[in-house]
Amino acid sequence: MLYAVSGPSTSISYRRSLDYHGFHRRRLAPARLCVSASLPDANGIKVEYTPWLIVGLGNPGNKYHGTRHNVGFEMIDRISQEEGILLNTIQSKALIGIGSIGEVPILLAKPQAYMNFSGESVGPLAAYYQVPLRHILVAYDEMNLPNGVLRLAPRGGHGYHNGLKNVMGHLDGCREFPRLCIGIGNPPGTMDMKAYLLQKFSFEERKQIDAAQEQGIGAVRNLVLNGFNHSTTRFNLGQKYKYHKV
Amino acid sequence: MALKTLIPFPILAPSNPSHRPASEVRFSRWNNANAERFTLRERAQKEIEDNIRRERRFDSATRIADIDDAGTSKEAAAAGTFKSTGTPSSPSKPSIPGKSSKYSKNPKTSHPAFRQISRRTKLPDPNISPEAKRGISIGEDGVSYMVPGVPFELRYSYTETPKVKPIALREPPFLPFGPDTMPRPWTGRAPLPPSKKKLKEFDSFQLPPPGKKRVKPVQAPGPFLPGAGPRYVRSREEILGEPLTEEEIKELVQGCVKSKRQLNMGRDGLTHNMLDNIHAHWKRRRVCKIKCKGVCTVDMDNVRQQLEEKTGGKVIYGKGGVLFLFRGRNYNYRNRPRFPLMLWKPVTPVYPRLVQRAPEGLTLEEAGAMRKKGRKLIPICKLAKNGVYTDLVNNVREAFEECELVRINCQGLNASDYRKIGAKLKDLVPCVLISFEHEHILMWRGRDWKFLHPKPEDGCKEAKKSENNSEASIPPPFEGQKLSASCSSKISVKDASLDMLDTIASPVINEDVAMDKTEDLSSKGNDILSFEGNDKPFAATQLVKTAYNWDTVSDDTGGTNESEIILTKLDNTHHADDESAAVMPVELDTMLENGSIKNELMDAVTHDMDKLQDIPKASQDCGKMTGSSAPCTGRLLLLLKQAVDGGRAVVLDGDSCDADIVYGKAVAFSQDAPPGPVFRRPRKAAVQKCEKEEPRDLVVGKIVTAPEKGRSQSKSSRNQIAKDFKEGYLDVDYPGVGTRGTLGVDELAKLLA
Repeated sequence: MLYAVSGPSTSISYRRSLDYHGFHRRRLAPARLCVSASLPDANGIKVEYTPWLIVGLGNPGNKYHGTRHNVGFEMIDRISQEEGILLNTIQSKALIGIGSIGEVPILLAKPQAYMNFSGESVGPLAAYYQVPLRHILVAYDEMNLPNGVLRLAPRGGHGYHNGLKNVMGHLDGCREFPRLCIGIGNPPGTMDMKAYLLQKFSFEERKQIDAAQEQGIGAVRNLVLNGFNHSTTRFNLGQKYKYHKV
Repeated sequence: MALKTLIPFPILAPSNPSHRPASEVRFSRWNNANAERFTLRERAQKEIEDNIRRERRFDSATRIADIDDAGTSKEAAAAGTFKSTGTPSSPSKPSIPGKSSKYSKNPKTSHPAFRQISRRTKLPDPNISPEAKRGISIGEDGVSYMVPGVPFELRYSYTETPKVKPIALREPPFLPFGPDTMPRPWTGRAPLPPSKKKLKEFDSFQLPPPGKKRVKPVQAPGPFLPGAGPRYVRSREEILGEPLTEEEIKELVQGCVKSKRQLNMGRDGLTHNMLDNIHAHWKRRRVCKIKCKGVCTVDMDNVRQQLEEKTGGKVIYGKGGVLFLFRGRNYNYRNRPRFPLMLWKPVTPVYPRLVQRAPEGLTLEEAGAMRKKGRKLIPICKLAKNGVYTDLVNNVREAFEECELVRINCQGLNASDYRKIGAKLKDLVPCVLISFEHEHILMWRGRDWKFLHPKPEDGCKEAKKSENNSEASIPPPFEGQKLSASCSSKISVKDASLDMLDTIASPVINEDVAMDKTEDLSSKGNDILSFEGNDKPFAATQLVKTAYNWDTVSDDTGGTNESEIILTKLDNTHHADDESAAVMPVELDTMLENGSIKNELMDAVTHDMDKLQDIPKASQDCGKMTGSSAPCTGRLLLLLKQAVDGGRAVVLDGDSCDADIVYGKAVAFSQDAPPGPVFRRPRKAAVQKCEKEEPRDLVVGKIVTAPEKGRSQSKSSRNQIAKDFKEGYLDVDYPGVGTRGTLGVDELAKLLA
């Protein structure tokens, strides 16, 4: 996943005058088109600059706040709190906020279209901000995983998640975007799937999900900075077996 | 009577052999008494013979009566065969040719004295050494039987025998094969009668003629490469022949996948008699399909290896529990290895206990504690009875990366089955079995477990420290420290992070704005820098490095702790020497690899906290974050600004954090806003071409999506791509060379047209 392009290392070296006050006024050097230029650090670490679009799937409105289907929204809220990004803009039927983790710019988005039409907001958003497919991270609820188990996957299917199906459809039918699957467990017995998804969490489940979200934030940060590597595998393994420890 | 005519003239009068007038009514033929006079009378055999005898009698009488010359008859007689007196008469030929009587003998048979019978005496096989005897050997690999003439040791099961020496046998041992005192295989019945004894030997290369009926179907010998044919060979490699090509394999497997003729392998694995069954399958078909279920699937590699070794065939395809065994190109059923069959189930040996009370160096209390913990543990998976457990070993290994104890649910299986599975896991995943209670397998990782993904050591230590020091207010106090100009001067050009540094460096205090940094991390980075600047001048690069490294090293801990950690680290170094300046970079370098420094940093933070008490808390409002002030987000912000100007986006003011309000506004806005661009999948060819031409530091997506931005019609985009294709091709290569294989048919047509 590391698309390490070697741009000239001197291209991004500003000499900022020390007496410049206005923080908001950033001088954009004209040569600074190279969004994906990597900046070799003294240690040789290259960090991507291509922006990431982190989308959380959910239903808008207070009625659906805290339901199982809206864990994606909750994840985005957590990330925005953690990274200090304010979600205050509405564009393309979504509530968005721009910020960065380290050197990597990220765009947090909460589509305000109902779940089945989330793609209508995600697709145009990704196209407008020219986010490549491999940098779109979708956080959504996954019934195949037990409650509170997260998984960072580089690609995958929709698993009968209507929101994800719609997003895939609007991303020109591509499945190769990374996702953060947040496990919510199977509906018990013969319970209706839709009813299960629109239920709120029980007390213990709520605690598990909160803990999971804490862990998830760190994982997202690591992913954005380093891409998919052995630490992601470790994270996935840790999540898979976190309830099997005594 | 034929009428004689002067000229041969065909007589067209119908000849009526049956003397039946044509006009007469025809009755049915069968069992009709009235029809008797019209039925042909067939002469009985007796009548025919009587006729022959009568005629001969009359002929001989006529001949005697008509003797003309005595001389001619004598000469004729003399010309015939001469027999001297005393010659025994040969048996008279039967007067009716072909009829056998007591005076006639089968001309083929001859006198026993003159018969040529060769009785082949069975000489002892020179290959078998006289010392090799039939016997049982109980060794490290369990019980095995030695039979002379067989190249390997015979066992009841070749895959499931535990590789442990049994401690006892439940019964006195015996060889489960039939007696070797007779040449024929022992069937428990009387020998076949001689008429049925001789069975035609089956040669795989001599197939029955294709049209022959009532013969079981036989597949021709193995697929031959062009120019080769079946060969009578004996050695294993020769029988296998050349390695199969991929198409041949595909063909063979396809023909076999849906066949219902298969061999089943169960909890006993590859038994001895199964070898014979495999050869029986190979008599008729080239590929033998073996379906494995249950215990033997835990170690499919061993099963494959044993199959290939013992049968001499090759496993061409295997998926899940199903294996396809190919017999070999030059396989001949006639030359197959013959083993004696096992006619009875052999003695069951007693093996040492799988689970000890205190296994492998653990004390009894420790083991007991593990068992107690294990009772509450959630099992990682549930095994189905007679299922396929091919990935069980991998799953258990994965689970051991994370947890020490692993429990597997085996409810529904036979007790002997899950014990066998446990024994196999003990060998394959090297682990220690703790208990089998409640139909679960409980395993322990063991002391020396080799981790596949080495974990950072900081995990546990960080957690400890973060519990101790959980102060989120550290960043703001330190901010005031930024003001020290001394350090700021040192902070010179390095990175994009310089942006942050600059804000720090600015002598203007009370920059709430300064605090409105992108994220806490960067601000903490600033804190580090500022803090360092306070006590000791450091090279800017080092400072930046810390900030920069910190971002990349960030892990699962909360943001606040990290700053503490770094600050403590710095503090430690400060407390050291002036040389710490030099030491710092080294330490920082190692920080990446060894996150354990973090805990030291944590200590330092606490120290510093006490120190800095007179810090203006003016810029404490971390809450207010615009979040986009770093230059890296510049582009995004520009796009956002354009969107806002263009009416595509609207910035919400105030605290409209209520979801309903937001939703309402979003709906209202979207009705007026122009439709956004459509996301297009990046096309490979266009990408390649663009990569070639334009500098590589452009976003790939940008190139692809930009020209197609706003294009809602796919056709137009495809035309665009076709155009790109054309240009690309003309530049570099001619079509047909196929360097970029994604050329569609219609594009190709356009190019060729």
